Amino acid sequence: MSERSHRSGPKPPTSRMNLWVLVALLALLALTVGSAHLELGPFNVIVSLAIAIAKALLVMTFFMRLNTDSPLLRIVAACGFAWLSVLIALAIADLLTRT
Amino acid sequence: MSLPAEQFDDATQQREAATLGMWSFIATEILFFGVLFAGYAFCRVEFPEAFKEGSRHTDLLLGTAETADLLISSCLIAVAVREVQLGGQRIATWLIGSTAALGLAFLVMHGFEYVSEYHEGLMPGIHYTQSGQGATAMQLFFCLYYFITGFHSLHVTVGVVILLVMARRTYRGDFDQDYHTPLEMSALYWHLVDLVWIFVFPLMYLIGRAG
Repeated sequence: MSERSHRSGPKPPTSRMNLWVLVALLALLALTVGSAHLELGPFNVIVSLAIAIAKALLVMTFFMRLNTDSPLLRIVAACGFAWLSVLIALAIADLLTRT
Repeated sequence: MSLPAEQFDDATQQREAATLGMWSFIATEILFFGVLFAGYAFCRVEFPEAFKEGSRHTDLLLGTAETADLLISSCLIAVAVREVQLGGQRIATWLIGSTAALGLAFLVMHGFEYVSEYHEGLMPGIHYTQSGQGATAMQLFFCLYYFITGFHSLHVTVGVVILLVMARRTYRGDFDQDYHTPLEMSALYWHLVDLVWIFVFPLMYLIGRAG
């Protein structure tokens, strides 16, 4: 098997793994649509964002292969989200602390 | 086996440079959409009720179908890259073609949404017939909705074109176990499109559904 996998990058994940990730993603989709109809107050937002983050992590880890590829890529990916969180956090902090 | 370009020591280094460049591009795309999401967060804190009301005007059924469509397409392209890496060019061609078809289906579904929103008078500045409390602030929701989904659909359109080119190149036998970097990068781009939509869906379609 190893001599058939390509030489310049990490070994590809199995088809079964890809399908399980898809099943998990679709299950999370059903969960987020279902939970959106429940009256949870402020937790509606928290639950739907937590599910979205879980889905994004699944896609990045397995479909985009951050788990097996170079660690440098994980740093670059994390940088994008880190700057984004700074952007949103400071914008909201300004808005919430106005008097 | 195709030789690496002159500036690289070997194929491994060449591939690493390509993936690093692609991920840097993805990080800039995250920030590009991030600005729009930051605008969304800002306006939503200011006008929570208008945003919930706006969200109730979106089509939940189509939105859910579009999300499932993109998730499935992401899985197909991931399997397609794997197939090429293992020498299955024929099945990979079909998988890439199917991914492009799902992308096209997404655009058609979203087109239907835009048409019905136009008829309902939900397009600020073009055709907006909403009235009553919060209708003015709801225009902000719809401006952000059209900007975010519009830019996302633009990315899907570009992605479909790239996927069709990749399907053709895979069919021609340009890629094999040793060299398939363009396909791998295209797949990363397609996953990015999926990633953006994963956040668009709850923020645009789901926030006003409870109660």
